[in-house]
Amino acid sequence: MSAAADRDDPTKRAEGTPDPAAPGGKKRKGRKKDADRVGGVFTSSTARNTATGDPAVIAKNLCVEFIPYVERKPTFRGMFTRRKRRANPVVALDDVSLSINKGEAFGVVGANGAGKSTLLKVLAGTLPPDSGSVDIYGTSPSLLALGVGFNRNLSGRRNVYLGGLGSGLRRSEIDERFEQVVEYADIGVAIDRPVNTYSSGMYSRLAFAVAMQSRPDILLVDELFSVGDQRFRAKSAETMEQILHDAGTIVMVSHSLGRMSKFCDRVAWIDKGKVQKVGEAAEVIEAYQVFSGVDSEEARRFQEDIDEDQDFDD
Amino acid sequence: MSSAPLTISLRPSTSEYLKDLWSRREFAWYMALGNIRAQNSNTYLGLVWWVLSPLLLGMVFLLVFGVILDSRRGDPDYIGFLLSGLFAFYYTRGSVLAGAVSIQQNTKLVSTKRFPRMILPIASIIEAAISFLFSLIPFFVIAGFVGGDWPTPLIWVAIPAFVFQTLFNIGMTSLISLLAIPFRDLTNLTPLLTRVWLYTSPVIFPLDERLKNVSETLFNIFSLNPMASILGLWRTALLGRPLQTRDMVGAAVWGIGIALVGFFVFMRNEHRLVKYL
Repeated sequence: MSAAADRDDPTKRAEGTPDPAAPGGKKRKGRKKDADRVGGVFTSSTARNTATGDPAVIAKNLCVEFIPYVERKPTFRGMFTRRKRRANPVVALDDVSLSINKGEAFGVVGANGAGKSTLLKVLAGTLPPDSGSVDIYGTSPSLLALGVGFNRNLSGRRNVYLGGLGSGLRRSEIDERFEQVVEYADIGVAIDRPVNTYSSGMYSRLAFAVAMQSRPDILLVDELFSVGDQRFRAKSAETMEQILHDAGTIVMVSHSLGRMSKFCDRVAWIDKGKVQKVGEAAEVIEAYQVFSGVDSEEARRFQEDIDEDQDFDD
Repeated sequence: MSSAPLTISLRPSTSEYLKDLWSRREFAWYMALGNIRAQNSNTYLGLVWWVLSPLLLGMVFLLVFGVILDSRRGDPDYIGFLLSGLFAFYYTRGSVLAGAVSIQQNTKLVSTKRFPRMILPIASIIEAAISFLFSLIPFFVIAGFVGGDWPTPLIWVAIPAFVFQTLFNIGMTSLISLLAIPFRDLTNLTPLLTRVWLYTSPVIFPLDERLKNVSETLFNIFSLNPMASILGLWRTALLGRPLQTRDMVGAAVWGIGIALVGFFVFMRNEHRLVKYL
């Protein structure tokens, strides 16, 4: 696989990649000290400005193709000729190159099937690209997904451990954080009840708290804005802000454009596996909306309505 | 933080992989215990089922093969013979059946988290091993009462028997769990194949007695069955039957051989899995 070949070529990496040990790196450390302020509200991206010039993730020329299962009309002959009539591969990522900086909230927008989730899997290192490479500066990124590794027949307590162990924590580390997680999830005594008795809100609150147990430098988030009720949503947004303030990096995928433009510093718009535009959040989202054939003013109002609705519908 | 970037590497070296696997041992263990607990969480008898299931299974086999079909053939300790073979066979059967779906049942985990995927089949084996140890309780209760002279002086053979069988299970289960992702058909086939395997292994009757009249070539083919050697060792350990060198060598070769093949094939191919999920 050429990903391995690229990795072994140091000259390739050197070009255009700022050295993280350069002065910018020190600046980041300085900022980390005064990062202990807790933002209680969704600060706008312009006010935050935690992004540094240091790269956190550099993705180069990523390509991923899938060969889908195609359901055909079952014929007797077809049973034996399946191999010959191969389905056309679906291109999920087509020569995607991105550079994401430390402390940045980076959004990815695009229609369904544009390749957003595939991109996150490649960045997380679970899906090897067919070609291209990903360089990570810092600890290996973690793709945040809710309820991963949970067993619904077990109690909340055991699932805290299962989820934590699944994301690579040790049991002793989970012991230390356990009380915090339960408090954060606001589950109370229900922690000893089987998870399948939880309401969906309780479930996602616990799942979010468990997922946040391990705080990697680079967090990859797939569609996560609608967890829990409004109070919990404010709390989770605050946690995300906190991560950014600690010079962590967040890469997120969402269809909630209104929230994306508020939260993200930069956004990439992907269509059919190709990067169409990367840049300042509001600008890219607007371009994406124009492309999708929605009048942007109308779309924004509509999106805000949805966001409002989401706040109160639980 | 070092200045060198961490490039996502999907081809770890063997020692890295083993180290990574070892550092995740708590996860495998916790997952196996969780599955065990979850299986009986809604039943009234709860954990009692772990003793009751093998007991009932043994009684069914005794009724059908011991009484109705009269496979005893004058063996005074047929109950011990059948139960030891059955429970030991079910250890491998349980590993393989749970392992075949172990990756499919954790697609979300596999596609979002990085960890040595072999944790998943290993958790299935731990689960089956615990279930096997539980089944030894009814074995000792029944066979001990009926057969009498237990423990035998050859009980130490239980250690190589367990080790070689577990190694064999690790290899088999890893291979099947890996192959069942691109070839989902395997998930449908494994229950059938394990059943055929049960009837061609010396579980219900001893091979040498039943195959007296077949040609030597066919007999040798049947003796090649890894379960023949493994069950032979268990019968030495649990029933005090004479220890056969053939069994010890066969179990060792099969156990270590399949474990190595399974481990390397799995490790070298696990990065392909997510594409098929």
